[in-house]
Amino acid sequence: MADQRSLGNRLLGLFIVLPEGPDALKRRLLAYFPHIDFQHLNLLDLLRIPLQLLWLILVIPPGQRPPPPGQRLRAGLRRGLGGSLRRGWQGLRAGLARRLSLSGFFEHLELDKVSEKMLQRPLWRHRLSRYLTIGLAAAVIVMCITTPFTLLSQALFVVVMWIAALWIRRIPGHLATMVLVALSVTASSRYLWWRFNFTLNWDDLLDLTLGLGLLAAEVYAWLVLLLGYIQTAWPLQREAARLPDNPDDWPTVDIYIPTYNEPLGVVRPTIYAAQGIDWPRDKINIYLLDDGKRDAFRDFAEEVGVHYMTRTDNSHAKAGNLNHAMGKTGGEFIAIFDCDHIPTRSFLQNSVGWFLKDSKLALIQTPHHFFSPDPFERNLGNFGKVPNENELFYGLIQDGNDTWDATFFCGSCAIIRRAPLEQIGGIAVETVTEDAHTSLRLHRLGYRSAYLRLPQAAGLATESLSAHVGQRIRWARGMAQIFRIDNPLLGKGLSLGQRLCYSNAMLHFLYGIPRLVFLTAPLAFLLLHSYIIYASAISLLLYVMPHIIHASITNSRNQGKYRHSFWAEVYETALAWYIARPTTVALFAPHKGSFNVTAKGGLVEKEHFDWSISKPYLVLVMLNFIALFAGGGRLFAGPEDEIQTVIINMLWTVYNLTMLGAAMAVAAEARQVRVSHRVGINFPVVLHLENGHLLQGESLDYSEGGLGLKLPAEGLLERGQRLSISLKRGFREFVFPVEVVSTRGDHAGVRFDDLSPAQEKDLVQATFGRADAWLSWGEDREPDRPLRGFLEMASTGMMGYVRLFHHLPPLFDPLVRRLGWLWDFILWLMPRNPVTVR
Amino acid sequence: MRTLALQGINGGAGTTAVTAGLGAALHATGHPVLLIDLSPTNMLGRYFALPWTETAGLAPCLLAERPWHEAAFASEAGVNFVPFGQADPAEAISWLAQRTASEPAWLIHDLAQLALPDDAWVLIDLPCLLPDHLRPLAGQCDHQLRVINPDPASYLQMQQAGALPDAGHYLINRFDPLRTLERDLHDLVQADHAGRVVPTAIHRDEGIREALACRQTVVEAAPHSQATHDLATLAIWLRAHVGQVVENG
Repeated sequence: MADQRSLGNRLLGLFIVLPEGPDALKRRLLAYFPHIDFQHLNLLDLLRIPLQLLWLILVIPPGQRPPPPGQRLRAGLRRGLGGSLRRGWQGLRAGLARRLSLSGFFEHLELDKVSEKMLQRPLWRHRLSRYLTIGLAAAVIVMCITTPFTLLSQALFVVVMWIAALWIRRIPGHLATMVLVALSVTASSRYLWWRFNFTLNWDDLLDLTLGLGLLAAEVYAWLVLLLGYIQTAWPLQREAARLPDNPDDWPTVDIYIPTYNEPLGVVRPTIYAAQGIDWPRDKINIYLLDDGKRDAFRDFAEEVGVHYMTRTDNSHAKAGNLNHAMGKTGGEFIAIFDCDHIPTRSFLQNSVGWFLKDSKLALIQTPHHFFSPDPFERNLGNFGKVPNENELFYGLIQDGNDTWDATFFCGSCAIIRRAPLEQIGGIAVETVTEDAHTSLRLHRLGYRSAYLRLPQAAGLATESLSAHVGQRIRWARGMAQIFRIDNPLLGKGLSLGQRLCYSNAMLHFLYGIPRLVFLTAPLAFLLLHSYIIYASAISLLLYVMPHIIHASITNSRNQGKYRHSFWAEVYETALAWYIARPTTVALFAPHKGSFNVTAKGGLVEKEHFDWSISKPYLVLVMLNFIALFAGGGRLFAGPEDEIQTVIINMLWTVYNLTMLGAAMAVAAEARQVRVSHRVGINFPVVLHLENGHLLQGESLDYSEGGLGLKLPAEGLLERGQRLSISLKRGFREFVFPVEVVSTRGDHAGVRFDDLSPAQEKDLVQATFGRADAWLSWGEDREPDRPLRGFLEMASTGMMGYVRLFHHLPPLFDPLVRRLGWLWDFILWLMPRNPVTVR
Repeated sequence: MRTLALQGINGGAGTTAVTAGLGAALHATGHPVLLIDLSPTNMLGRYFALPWTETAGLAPCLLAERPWHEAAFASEAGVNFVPFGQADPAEAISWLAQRTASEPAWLIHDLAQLALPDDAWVLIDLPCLLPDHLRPLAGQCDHQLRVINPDPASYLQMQQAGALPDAGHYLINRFDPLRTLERDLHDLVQADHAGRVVPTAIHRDEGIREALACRQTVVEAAPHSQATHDLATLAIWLRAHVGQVVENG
C-alpha cells in the first residue's frame, strides 16, 4: 500500500506519532537519514540533519516521494542531486509543453509537408521569380540587420526571433533549415553591425586597439559561420552507383599503398585487405610504394604477390612517391590508401560506378573511418559516445561540399581518374597538404569530384597527443599555404560555390589566433580595465545572446549527428595555440616549413600529463584565475555602475576556464597498453571444440591478437582451452586455431595461435575487410541537444582540473591533500536520498 | 501448407537427421509441422523417441489400404510425424511406385484432404535410391532439397545425378571447415552451382550424433550448438524463399 499522506505529514510522524511501535521510528530514521548514525551523534550532525530535512521537503519532487520504509524502491530513481534536479526540470518542461501544446499544433498543420510542397511549386522554376524573391528576402534581412532599435524594441525583436526559431526547429525538412539559417545569419550580422557602429571607444587608444582585435576575431568567426552554412545546409547524400552487369566492362584499377616509416605490422593488414577487394583479378594491381626501401617489405610483397616499388630519392615525400608510381603503372584509375587504412571488399564496386556515369568525374573520396580512439577520445574516455573531430568533416562537410561539386581529396580512401591527374602534372607537390591542392587543380580544369559517405576503409587514429597535434599543424599549415599560393577565390575555372567551399576549408584552419583572442578577451576588462566592448552590459546581452543562441540552434540541427554542441570549441581550444603560429607563418612565408610524417601504431606506455603540450594552457588558466579574483575584487571595491559588466566578464572567464579545463583534460595522456587495438565489431563465429561439438558465438571486439566473444551460455569454455573458430566471408568459411585466455560469464577472450601469412590474410579479409564492417558506426549514439552538449563539455572541463591536480608535482602535495579533504567533507555534509529499510 | 521434399544425393548423407532437425526448427518458430518418412529404413521416428517396438507407420497402413494419417504421432515438443513403419521394403516400394505411376500427386491429394493450416510445413524424407517412377512424387512438392556432403563421393554422385529441378536447391550437410578438402569442395559446389546451393551449410557437429543417441533432434538436445543455429537459419531461409516461390506460382 502506498502511503497517501503528504511528505510533510510523514516527516512530522517521525517525531510525534508512533502507532507502529518503537521499531517503526528506528526504521524511518534509517530510511530518511541513511548517512546519520543516531547512536553516536556528533556536533556536525546538527548541520547535516537540517540539511537533510530541507532536502527531503524542498527538493525531492512530489510524485516521486520516497515510499514508506520496507516498500521496494523503483529501480533507477533517486540517484542524488543531479537526478532530482533533472527530473524536476523535465517535469517542468513537459508541463509547459503540454500547456502551450506546441507539438500538437504542429502535428496538426503538417508543416513539413506544406513546406516541401512549397519548394516544389512551378513558380520557382522561373528565373525572374527566383531573383525577385531572393532580392526581397535580402532587402528584408538587411533591414533587420541595420535598423537601430531602442533597448526595448531590441528585446522584443530578440524574443520574437527566438520563439520563431524554437518553433521552426521542430519542423523537419530543408525549408525549415533554411529559415533557421536565415534567422541565425540575421542575428549574427545584426550583432556585428551593432559592434561596428556602437561599441568601439574611439577616445581611448588601448580600448580601441584591443577592441578592434576582438572585433577582427569576431568578424572571422562570423565569416566562418556564414561559409559553414553555405557549405553544409544542404548535404548531397550521394548513393553508390551501379556498375555494368558484365565485369568485362569494368575499368582497370591500380591500388597505391604508400609507406615511409610505418612498421610492417601496420602495413600487412592493409595489403591483405586490398587483395580481398572484389574486382576482376586481371584488372586490379596492388602496389606497395616503399619510400623506406626496406628489405622486409620487399620480401613480404613478393611472398603475398603484390608489386613492390621504390625510388632513388625521396623528393616531395608522399606526393612524390605517388607521382613516381604513376609514371610506372598504367591503370585507368588509381585508388590510394594510406598504409594503415584497411579497405573493405566492397570499396571499388561501390565507388567506381560514378566514374562510368560521368566522364568528367575525376575524383571520388570516401570517409576516413578510425577504429581506434584518437588522443582526444582516449584521454577523455568518450570514444564512440561523442562524435570525434573527424566526424563532422566526413559526415557533413564533405557531403555539403559535394552539393557544390567541391569535395576535395583527402589523401587516402579515394579513387582518381588517371588522365586528368596526368593533365595537371600529377599530385601537387608545392604544399604539405598535397591532397586538397590536387583536387583544387582538377576543379580548375573543369573536372568534377564526388563524395560517397560510405565508410569502406578504416584505420588507426594517431596515437599520442603530440603526434595528433603535429598532424593538425601540418593540415593547418598546408591549407594556409594553398590559400597563399593558389588562392581559391582567385584564378580561373572555379564556380562561386567551389570558391566559397575551398575558402572555408582554408579559413577554418586560421582559427588559432581568433580562438586565443576569445580566451583572453575578458582579461582586458578584468585586469586592464579596458572597455573593449564599449557598451552597457544589458545591451551587450541583447545583441550577443541571439548571435550565440541562433548559431547554436541552427548548428545543432545541421551538425548534431556529427558534432555535439560546444565540442567544436573544445577541439579548437585544445589546438589553437599550436596552430596559431604555423598558420600565420605559412600565410606570410608559404614556402617555409618542413613536412612531418604522422606516426602511428605506437604505444603510450605510461599514464602521464603532457606538460609540454599543456604549458601555454596552464598560463592561460592562471591568467584567467587571476582575472577571476580581480573580478571578485571589482565586485566589492569597484564602482557600482560597473557591477553588471564585471559579472558578464566573470561569466565569460568561467566559460573560458571550462574550455581550457577540457583542453587540459586532453593533455592527461591515458595509458595505452595494447599493441593492436580492440575494435568493436560484431559478426557470427563458429566455435569448434576438440570433442567435435560446435557452438554458435558472436564476436564483440577484434584485435590483431585475438577476439572477444559472446557465448550462448555460461561456463562453456575454460581458460587455457584450445579450439578452432571459423568466420564466414560471403559463402566461404575460414578457420583459425585459438586459445582461450579469459572467461567471464558468457564472455570469453581468445587469442589466435601463430597464424600463417595465408591465415592472417583470411582473418583480415573476414573481419576488417567485410563489406558491412563499418556501416553501423555511431548509430546507437545519442543525438545532440545543445544543453547536453554544454553539460558534456562542462564536465570534461572539470575533469581537466581534477587531472591537473592529480598530476601536480610533489611540491603541491599538501595543497592537493587539503583540497581533497575539503571536497570529501562537503560530500559528507550533503543530504542523501532516502533508502529502503527492511 | 507448404511441402518440401528432402533427398540425399547418396546414402548416409544425413537426410533424415536434417529432416527431423529442420522440422523441430520450423516448429520452434511457431509453424505446425508434419514430417513424413518415405524411407524404408524407418529412422525418422527415432529422433522423436519412437520406440523400436512400434510397428505402425505409413507403409503398413497403405498396404492394408487404410488412411496413412492414422499412423501419425506427435513428439513431446509437438512435432507431428508419420514413420515409415515396419513392412517388407520391396513390397512397400513397389506399392508406392504403382500408386505414383497411376496418380503422381496422390500424396499431395491426401495431404489436401487433411486440411492443414496455411502456415503448416510438410517435410517428406525420401530414400536416396529413388526408383524413377517415384520421382514425380518429389516433383509434386513446392520445393526440393538435395542433401549433399562436401566429400568426393557426394561430389561425384552430383555429376551423375542429373539436373536439379527448377524448384530445388542443394543443401550441404556435415560441413567441417577444419578440413581443407571439405572447405575446397564446399567452395567448389558453391561456384559450380551458383545460386542453387542453400547459402547456409549444416556443420558437422557432434551434437547431432549425440542427439540421436538420446533419441532427440539436435534442436532439443543441444540448443546452443552450431547445428541448431544452422537449422534455424535454414528454416528462416526456407520461409523466405519457398514462401515467395509459392506466392509467385
